[in-house]
Amino acid sequence: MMKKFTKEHELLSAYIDGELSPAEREELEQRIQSSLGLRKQFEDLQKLKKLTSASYKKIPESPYFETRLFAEIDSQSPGYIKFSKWSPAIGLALLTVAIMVFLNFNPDIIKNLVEEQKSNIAGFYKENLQPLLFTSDINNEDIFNFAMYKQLPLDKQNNQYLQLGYDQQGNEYVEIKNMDINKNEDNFEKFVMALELNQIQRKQIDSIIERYAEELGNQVLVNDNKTVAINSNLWNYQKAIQSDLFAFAENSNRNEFRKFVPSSVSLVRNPQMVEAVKNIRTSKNKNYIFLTPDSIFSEPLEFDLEKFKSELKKLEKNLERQNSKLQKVQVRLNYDSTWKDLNGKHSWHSNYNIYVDSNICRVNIPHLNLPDFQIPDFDSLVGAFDSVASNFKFYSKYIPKIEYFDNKLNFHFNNDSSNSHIGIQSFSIDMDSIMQAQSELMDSLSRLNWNYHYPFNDSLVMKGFPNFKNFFKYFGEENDMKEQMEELKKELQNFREEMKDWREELKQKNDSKQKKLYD
Amino acid sequence: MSSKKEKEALAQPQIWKLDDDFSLVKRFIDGDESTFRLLVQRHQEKVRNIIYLTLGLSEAVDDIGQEVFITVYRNLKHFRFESQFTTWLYRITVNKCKDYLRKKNVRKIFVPLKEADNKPGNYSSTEEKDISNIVTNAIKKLPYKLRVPLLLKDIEGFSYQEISETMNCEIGTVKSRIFRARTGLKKILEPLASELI
Repeated sequence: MMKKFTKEHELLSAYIDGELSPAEREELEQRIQSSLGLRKQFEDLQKLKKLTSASYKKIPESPYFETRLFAEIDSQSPGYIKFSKWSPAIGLALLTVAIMVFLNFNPDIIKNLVEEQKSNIAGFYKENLQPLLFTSDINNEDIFNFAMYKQLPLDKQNNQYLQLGYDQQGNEYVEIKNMDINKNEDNFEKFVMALELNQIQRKQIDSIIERYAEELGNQVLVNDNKTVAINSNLWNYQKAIQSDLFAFAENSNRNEFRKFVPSSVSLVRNPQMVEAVKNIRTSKNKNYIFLTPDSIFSEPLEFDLEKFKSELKKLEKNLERQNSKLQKVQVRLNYDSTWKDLNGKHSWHSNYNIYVDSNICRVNIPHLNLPDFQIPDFDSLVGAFDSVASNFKFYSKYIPKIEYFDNKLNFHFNNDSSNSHIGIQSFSIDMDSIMQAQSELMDSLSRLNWNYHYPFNDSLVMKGFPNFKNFFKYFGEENDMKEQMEELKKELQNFREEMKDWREELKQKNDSKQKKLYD
Repeated sequence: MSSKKEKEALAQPQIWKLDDDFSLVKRFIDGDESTFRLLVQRHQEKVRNIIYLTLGLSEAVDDIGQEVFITVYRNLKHFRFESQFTTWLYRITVNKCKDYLRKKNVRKIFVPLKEADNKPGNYSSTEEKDISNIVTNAIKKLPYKLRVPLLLKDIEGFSYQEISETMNCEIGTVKSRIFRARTGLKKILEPLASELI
């Protein structure tokens, strides 16, 4: 009975909630109509439902609920929320692991990146490279000095030179430095004089030097980015020029050559050297050492000298039409500012040790891959060459270039007219006055008792002109003077013979006088 | 023939409106996570109210509401479309409330007796003056299992079906619990019956 009562009340509760089926609703409504107690219960439940529904007000809106929620979602990755405070460290660790794994499987990636950057930098410094021989006024003297002393001028006005060398271990080095080189050395002329070359031989040696000068064109390149690119074959080129010059010298005038070159050194009958020189000159070595303000590196470079020349000609023609001239590139390197940052560092390949101070930048190149210059015992030859380079000047009967101008004789100590010269007042040689002086001398001598004097020495005449022999050499190049001097020599020879005869005559006269006195 | 037509009609895909819950959920699953914001905007009020009704507290509503939507966000890609989105959402909400209360009850063990006794329901005479407060406090005295179906029905207007799905129980159970809640509430409020009922 109680259970049935409860069941009816439960139905009433569902009824006011609108949850009964139509059939249940119809049945219950009929019972409510017929039962006062059930109707009372129904009314109570309705009131209670109204009270309940009215008791709660909706919670006020939260204006920041959505903002806060999405900030939370954005800051937390699903599944990793608990690790949030460790997320930076975890992230870093994962990144490190990822990079390690990536690099493990791609070991060349860093290398490639670095190489790419290198190639960009190298590309920048490779732009507009021009032969040094075009950019600066290099003459035969400079090429000769390169052959003998391994130095090439980069900037003559500022005495800046490129110096090749070998350290104590025999490794190559290159220096760019300021050198106060005496411009009046005129070494090439002294070399020519020491060998006493004739005019034809002189033309030949000039031709050799000029040919090498042209070939050296693509061995040293420069541009206005303060880059100096040196072909690694340059060291061999220096040896080749030196060997070739000595071979020519030996061949041209063996006697003079032997005065300053040991007899053990012979280059003429040395087919291996000839072959080596040929190989050096025909070598197409593309490996260049780049000395730049940022770095010193080794890179292959394709430089077409012939193409450069032809383009240069075209450019010059165009500029001529515009009444303009080609401006040559000036390379000026300041050791303290240009290469300051390189001091004590290694280059990209760690092959080059770099030393910079206020006056020099030196790059040691321990593992330079030079094309072979294969001559047996060349090392001993190099020693001999170096001694030759330093002592041939002592054997040179060097005559400065002389010109007569404005009643003056000018003695130029260098082919370059701008260099120092000595001028002396012109003098004339009056043969009559010389003969007059000599006759007066003879007269005075004739009045002397010859027993108390040394016999007459005609060399006194020659001693009156210091270095007279050298003047003959010079005058030999000037036809007019040469003829005059030849005549003078003949006159003096005749004079000498006359004097001899005269002396004999005097002697005979004295002998006859004395004989008469004794008789 | 007619049965064939009926089968064809049944086999036809359900056409969803562009902005109904299923469409938004589907777009979310397809990668358009911006639809989640629409779902939040649409349902946050209801969720917050359910929490408020269930707990009888306003201070924890937003915190639990945040937890509810974060749980939804993390699991929405696994939604299987076997029930209404709201059913799933409200079930999560109710469960979060249950978790909260369970933790709160554990904490209450360690609270001094005097403080624990001063719980809602032991209201003062000033509170009784407000009928709403009286009824609210009376409802709060009801057990959780009875209180929640009652409030979902009378305040939120849920059907018994929705309540059964939300609370994961039978419809008959919902009907019975709501009735028992009302019976219990009537007993609590009986001393004030002359004023209230």
